[in-house]
Amino acid sequence: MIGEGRYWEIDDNLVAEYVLGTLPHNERVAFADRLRGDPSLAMAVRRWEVRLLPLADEITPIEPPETVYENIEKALFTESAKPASWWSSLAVWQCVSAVSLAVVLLLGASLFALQRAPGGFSPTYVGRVAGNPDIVQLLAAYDPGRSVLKLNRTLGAPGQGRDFELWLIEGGNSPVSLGVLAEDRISQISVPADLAARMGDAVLAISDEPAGGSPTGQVTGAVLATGNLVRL
Amino acid sequence: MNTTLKNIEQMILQVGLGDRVAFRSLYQATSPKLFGICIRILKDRSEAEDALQEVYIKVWRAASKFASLDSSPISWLAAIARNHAIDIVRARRPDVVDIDATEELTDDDLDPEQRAIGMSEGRRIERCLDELEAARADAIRGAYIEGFSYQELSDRYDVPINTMRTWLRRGLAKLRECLER
Repeated sequence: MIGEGRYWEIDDNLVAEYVLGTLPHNERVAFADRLRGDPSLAMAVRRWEVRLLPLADEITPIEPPETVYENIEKALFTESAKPASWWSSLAVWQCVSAVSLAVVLLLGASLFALQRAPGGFSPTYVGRVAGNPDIVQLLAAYDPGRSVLKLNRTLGAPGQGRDFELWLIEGGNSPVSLGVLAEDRISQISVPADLAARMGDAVLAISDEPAGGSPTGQVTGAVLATGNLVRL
Repeated sequence: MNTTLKNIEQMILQVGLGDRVAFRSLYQATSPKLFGICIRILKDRSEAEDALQEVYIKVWRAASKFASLDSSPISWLAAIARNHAIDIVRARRPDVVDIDATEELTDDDLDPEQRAIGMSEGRRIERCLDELEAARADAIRGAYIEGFSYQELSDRYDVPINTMRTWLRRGLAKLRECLER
């Protein structure tokens, strides 16, 4: 393609400015957005990070105060340090996921009832997506009014360079992707309109896929967990 | 790769699997350097403490995505710290530089010079910076270490902001050309 080499030349200067840190704020934000979806750009960034790293040699290491690490541990490992939200409370959900779906429903119903603030998330379906062996486990709550599916991954994380992908399987139809599970334990998915009506009768499944999700649009890796949604 | 780097890489991989003991060891081994980086850019100790906390929270969350093949462990960690600190200062003092007003790069800026061989990476980058005009090399060092923006660099070297951007873009292109020789 005419001009392709030049395009890359200019691009790499932009990469260098981003890594050096001089890119003005608006351009920096736009560049970081592009970076998330572009592995080859990310590689170019890595190369500049390695190139410029020796400049950090003259930065004197300084011992941080003890409190910093304490705060990090608190933020990462103590659930009580987080703003109290029953949905984010791993303790509640691990407890729930250890017992039967009946208890999920019972507890879910009462917990969800608390959440039914006007205009808030008010799910009428809940379910547990799990497998045997238990590699990944997910608790799901679906609000058909808003077409929002809230997810809480209570167990498991994808391997390096892999992602978990969530699928909707309805009857004998091919699975339809609901997207790659977010890195965060708690996440939510806006269910597309054409799928929203089918959520109640469908089976949810999680498969192990290459990073970024199945390249074919169909399940390519092992199905690790399945489960269906039950009406509260 | 020396033993320490190998250890740090191993620690990051362990952290990626959720190993809290490895996380503590990684913190102990690397936090003074990352704290130094944050302080130099933020120029405020208490702000740097908050930033360091956020940096290691990011390290914990991103460790499962660390790929030793395309990065060195230290540059991966340093990049998380620098990006976090620079995001803070850039958002605080946004400057606007019109990319269209900067002069185009030409191949004349990329004259090959003597080969730099048999040097450590650190000495090599110094050697390559020495090939640039002193002020431009200093501007690159200042941007990297102190997190200076184009506005701050243009004030410091008393040149218009667009000229400063052109200087740095040319300087970086020349630096890459020298490092890859």
